[in-house]
Amino acid sequence: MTVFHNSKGTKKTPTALLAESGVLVALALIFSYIEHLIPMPIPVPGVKLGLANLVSLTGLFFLSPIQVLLILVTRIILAGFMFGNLSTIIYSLAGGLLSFLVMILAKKIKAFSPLGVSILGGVFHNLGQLLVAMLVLKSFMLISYLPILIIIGAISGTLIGIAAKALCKYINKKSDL
Amino acid sequence: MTLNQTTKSKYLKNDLILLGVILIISLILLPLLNLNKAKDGAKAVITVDGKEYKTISLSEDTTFTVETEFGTNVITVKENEIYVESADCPDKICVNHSHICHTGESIVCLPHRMIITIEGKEDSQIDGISQ
Amino acid sequence: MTKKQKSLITIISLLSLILLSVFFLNKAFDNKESEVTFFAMDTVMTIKAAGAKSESAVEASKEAIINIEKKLSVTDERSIIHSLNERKEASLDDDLEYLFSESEYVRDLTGGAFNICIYPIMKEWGFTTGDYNVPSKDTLKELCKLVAESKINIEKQSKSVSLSENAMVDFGGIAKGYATEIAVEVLKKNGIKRALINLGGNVYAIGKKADGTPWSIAIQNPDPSKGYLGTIKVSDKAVITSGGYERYFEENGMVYHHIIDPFTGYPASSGASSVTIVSSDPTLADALSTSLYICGLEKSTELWMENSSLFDFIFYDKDGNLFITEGLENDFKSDYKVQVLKK
Repeated sequence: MTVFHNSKGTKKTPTALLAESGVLVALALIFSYIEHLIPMPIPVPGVKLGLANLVSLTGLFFLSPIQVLLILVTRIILAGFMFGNLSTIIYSLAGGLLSFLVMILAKKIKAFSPLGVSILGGVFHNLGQLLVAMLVLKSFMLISYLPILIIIGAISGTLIGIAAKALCKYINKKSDL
Repeated sequence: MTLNQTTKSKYLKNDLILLGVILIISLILLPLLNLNKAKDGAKAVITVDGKEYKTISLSEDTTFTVETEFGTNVITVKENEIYVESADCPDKICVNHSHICHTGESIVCLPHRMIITIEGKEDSQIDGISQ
Repeated sequence: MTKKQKSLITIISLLSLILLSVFFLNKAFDNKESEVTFFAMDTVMTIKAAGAKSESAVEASKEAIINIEKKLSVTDERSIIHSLNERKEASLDDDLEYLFSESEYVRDLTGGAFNICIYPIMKEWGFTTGDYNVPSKDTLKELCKLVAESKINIEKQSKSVSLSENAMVDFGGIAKGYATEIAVEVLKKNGIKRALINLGGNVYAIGKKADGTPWSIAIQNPDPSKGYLGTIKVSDKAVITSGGYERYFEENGMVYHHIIDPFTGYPASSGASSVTIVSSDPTLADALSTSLYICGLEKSTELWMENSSLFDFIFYDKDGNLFITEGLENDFKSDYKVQVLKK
């Protein structure tokens, strides 16, 4: 039987993996829903707090990157169909994937705690969305939102990083995931 | 994550440096916001026979002449409004038209095939005007 | 898990990711927006459309409108209508057959307020050429008699039309509406699901905006120094406004506008300042906007009660009262006090 390893070296059967991913996608969806309820004060489409990023971020420290990626993409597509439309999916994918990539790199170089990884993730999440918004709306002028988006990304990244840190501690204590 | 004290404080230091760097970058980029302000002040696009002739900001008062094969219109921008001051067209509808300043509004000089349209913020509340 | 399996999974997920992004980017590209602005029918026309084929679609609708104009122009000597007015007979194509039958339908519907035979009167006033002049009372009396007696004979078998002696027709009151209808048809044939057509203030919205909400169409205030009368949210509907402010001239301190009452020969003075028709049929909406302006509020309301499934209207009178029909109640927003007409 194929057995997956996670970053801590524990083994999981495909069934366990599937169940775990399903639960995490559901959790991320709930975050997406909450986020959907909070309006953002900036008229750039698709820019959000990135609450669901909490799942990806914490996941990075306990699950294999591929599993996190699959959870992320599934969540974005499902959330897009449920609370958004096609353009929200495009924006979220851009933000989510870029932030995921940067967070993996940030974790790999082993220079930051989850807090730092999260801050980078938050900033690049917004950067990705802005880039796609500029492409889709064919408006370079959107670049003017860049400083605000970086600050918002850093703030939300910090908040989510603190939450993730607490979460990591808790999971470590239980450490049976 | 089992971290000893030294790596932990090293991490925290790095995190703080990162946050500082990000804040400094965004502060440096802050002037970009003005780009948006400049755009907020609406601009007028002047087309002749379907081709763009001139784009002009409404924030600076000026008077200029649009001279084409179809005829001549003298256009004035004053106090964030734009209007046709005089023209050698037969009907003078463009001259009699009220001053415009809202996104989507336009002045048309049919004989000269000239259109002045106000373009402003991207999220104009109105998509079209029935008139 | 072996290294081979691991790399296989990585490759598969990367591939599916690339496929997904290509799919979505393609979808995004599908919404390419195209816009064309051109001059036709003595006005400025703008057609904006979104879709994969939007560029060719807006060009095709522009061509279709210019084609219609060539047939309907009363001043162009090569047009069918020009030769019909000169020789009192002409052959019919599908466009003209439809326009003649639609005109007859609206004439009957409005009790004669809409009449394409009004052309001799419009010509006398100079509204067709711009050489304005106020005709004498006697001239107008005679012309009104001519208009009332004008007959149009349609031969469906031989596809031809003939006019009674001295009669002349002008589709000016319906042409832009019909051009809108043709443009909508051409756009839809090209797979366009989102577009905004604006033919000199006659607006038609196809589908919904990119964000999924209906289009917001503002209604021009006849007094240009004041803000819009209001805005109406529409989807797949025409919003067509008529008012004396659109075209007029002054002589000896009197203002004469271009909406002529076929019964008096003079500019209509029924108390209307502007009338807007909202309908899914742009041809009908165009014809009704001028005729309800001529009819006045009371007759317009009666007409609407009998045909409320066909159209709704917004009536702004000379005293500044704003009336809307029931069907628009939820979609019309205004800073003015609005009185809702109910059945």
